[in-house]
Formats: sequence, C-alpha cells, structure tokens
Amino acid sequence: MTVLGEIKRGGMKRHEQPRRFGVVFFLACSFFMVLFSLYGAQASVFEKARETVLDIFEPVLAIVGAPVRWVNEQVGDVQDYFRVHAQNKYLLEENAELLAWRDEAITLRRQLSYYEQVLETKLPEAATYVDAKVIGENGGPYDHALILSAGAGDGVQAGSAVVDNGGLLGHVVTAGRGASRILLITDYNSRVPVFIEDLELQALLAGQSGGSPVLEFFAEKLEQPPTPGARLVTSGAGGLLPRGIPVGEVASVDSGRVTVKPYANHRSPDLVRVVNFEFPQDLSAPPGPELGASIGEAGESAP
Amino acid sequence: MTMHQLRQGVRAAAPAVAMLLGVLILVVPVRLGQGFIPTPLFPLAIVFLYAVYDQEALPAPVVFAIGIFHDLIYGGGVGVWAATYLALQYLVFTQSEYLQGRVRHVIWLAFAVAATMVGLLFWATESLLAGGWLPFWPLAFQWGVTMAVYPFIATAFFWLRSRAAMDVERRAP
Repeated sequence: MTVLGEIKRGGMKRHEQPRRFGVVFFLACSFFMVLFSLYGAQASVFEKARETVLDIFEPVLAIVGAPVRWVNEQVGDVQDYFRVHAQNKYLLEENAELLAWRDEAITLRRQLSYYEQVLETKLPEAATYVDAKVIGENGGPYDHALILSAGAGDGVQAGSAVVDNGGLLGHVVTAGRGASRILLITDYNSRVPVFIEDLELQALLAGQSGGSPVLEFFAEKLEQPPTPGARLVTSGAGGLLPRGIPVGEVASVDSGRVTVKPYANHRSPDLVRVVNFEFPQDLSAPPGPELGASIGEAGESAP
Repeated sequence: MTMHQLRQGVRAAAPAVAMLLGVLILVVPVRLGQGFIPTPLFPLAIVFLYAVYDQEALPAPVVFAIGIFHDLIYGGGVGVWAATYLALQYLVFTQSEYLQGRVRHVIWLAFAVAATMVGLLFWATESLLAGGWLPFWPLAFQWGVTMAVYPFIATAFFWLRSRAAMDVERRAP
C-alpha cells in the first residue's frame, strides 16, 4: 500500500530500512570492539587512542569545566560561611592534636636518624612528586577514574601512585603528553598490594565500584582477622607503588568480608600529587628524604 | 559560504554537538551532592529524544563516533557506550510508529523502559569485561537520576526545536 510515496513492506517503511540497517551495522561494530577490548583492553592501538583523546580534549575539558568549577566554588564559599563557627572549632581542636603529633614526630625522626647512622642503613632513592589538578572524572556507574592536568611532559609515568592529603587515591593508567588518567582504588579493576600494620599481614585491596573496597587475603584462613580501625599502607609488593603510603583503615568485618574506608577523598579531589618512584635496583645510592611531604612542598607543579 | 548555508550547517550539527557536550559534561567533575549523586546521562536522553522526534538528526555513524569518543575519554572498554547508544536508537526506531504523536508523559515512560533495557545491556557488557557480575545498584541509581532529570532535558530540547522552527519560518521566502 502506497502512502504518500512511501511503501510499507513488512511493517517497515522503505526509507527506514537503510537507517535501521545502519544502526544494526554500527551496533555490530561496537560489539566487535567490545569483544576486542575483552581480549586486549590495554591493546596498544586503544591505549594510543586514549592518550590522543586525552591530549586533544584536555583544553576542552578545562573550558567546559570552568563554569562548573566556578559554581562549585561559590556553593562551597556559601556553605563555608554558614559553617564557619563549627569549622573554626574543629580546626582549633585538630591543630592542638597536630602540635602534639609534631613533637612526637620530631622526636621519632631524630631517633630514626640516629639508628640509621649507627646501622649505616642504605635508603632507596627518594620519590619525586608532580602536583596536578583534577580536570575530569569518570561519570559512569562502574569505572572510577580521574583525569589530571599533568602528563608525560610533566614527568608523569604510567603506573605511578597518586595521593591526596589523606592518602592513596589510585595509580596512573594512561599518561598522555599533557594529561593523564588515574584509576581510583575504588574501581573494580583496581588491585593494590597493602600491608595491615596491626597484624603485619599482606593483602590485596580490591575495588568494588559499588561501595568501599574490600581486602583479599593470600592465606585461605587467617589466624587472626583484622579489627575495625586497623591501619593499611601500601606494601610495595610488585615494585610499582612505594611502600608506606597510607591507604585507609578497616571499616568493618562481616562474615569474612573486610571492608576498608580509604583515607583519600575519592569523591571530590581537586588537587593531587603523582608519586614517581623508582624501585631500588642499586642500594648503594645515598639516602634521600622520606615520603609524605605535604602537597605544595618540593614538587613540580603542573598547570 | 552564505549566511543561510552557515545557519543550515549549524542547525544540522546541533544534535551531534549537543550529544558531544552531554558526554563532556559527564566527564567534567560536576559532583552533585558532594559527589554522592551521579551526573545524569545526558547523551542517553539526547539520543532518545532525537530518535523519537527527528530520526535524521543523529545518524548512526555520528552516534557510533561519539560513543567511541565516550569510551576513549572514559578509559573503559572500547565499544561499550557506543553499543548502548546505538541499542537505544534501534529500540526507539523499531517503536517509532507507536511513539509518534504520543503525549510527553508516555514518551517519558517509553524512555524509562528503553533506558532500562539498554541499561541491562550495559550492565551485562561491563560485567563481561570485568569478568564477573557487577553490582546493579550504581547503575540503577544513575539511570534513576537520568530518568528524573529527563523532563528538564526534554523541555530544553522542545524549546530549542521551537526556536529553530520559528527561525526557519521567519527566514522562509
């Protein structure tokens, strides 16, 4: 039956056929690429494409994100205005606590320095830092990643740890020339070797994407399960991340499932620090300063 | 190039630009509710609206290209978002006769149904790439936020379309 020059055939108008065919064709291409991703997620062709897209769109993200950042800053300022009294009280208490910690840290540093001299300890080369701004993030339900304003041109390397003022945020997975992407420790692909200080036990911190990360143990049965509040630091196993970066603390232990509360603010980080660490190959190198300098000190700054 | 041709070019590129902008907004750290509320999936609503009201506006190659761009800038498996957008477009195309002339609330409901179906596809694909079943609630939460925000996106869409139509009428000889 002809209706206004269009022929209906099998419930589909003739002009709709190529359109639907086009969608089906590209849908098939997409699924083919998904399958290809399954067997080569880090395939060099995709990785190169990711780096190129990051580099090209880094300025675009900065421009598109500018109004959003401005609004966030204004909202933050207004909220701060209403919370100024409570914040002031909190900061005074925190400052008093930190002063006590500072005295203890100075004493411990002196002791450590003395023992190092006595024992002639050889320390690994100090890590270097690159400060970077967060210009983008993964807004999807599962992949938890951030895009930073610093890339290989600023000294960022794939695999480097990324920290904020609280602790470990994640590690660099893609380093373009002027921008990089980090995989957060909450992402389901993230596996970080950690050390539980209270138990002196090594484990893997596994991201869950849908909530807090959990611990995976190498031993099938633990002699003593970790207790809530136990502190976790990076173990340095694998040689990718330096040992001793604070990661988080055990939040809960429920029928063998150990949930961890990360120290880092993985929901709204703005300024982060990339830790470039060379796994020690030659321990005859002279000792250097220790990890843990606060953001803004002794680090290169990315725009 | 005349002014008229330039206007036509801008009008033709507007749907693709809107979808691309939607992807970029997803990548920009919007952080609704201190980061606890996920950013609505604007591109999903844009693909749906154009598939219902102007099927020629967003051709499959454009949706595919922007979907691949989405995958690359996200750093996830390549093809996942492209497949999600194209599946949504295909679903709407198959129901285009039913959807023509329906009131906006029915279209909203249709979006909820179609988005849920492609959401399941997205979840299955991501689970396949992850090598195990992923939790469903982060996806349901973001899809729910998108459905809640849909009327605002649709209102902006109709407003822009009516302005474009008025412009065409005004400039018609």
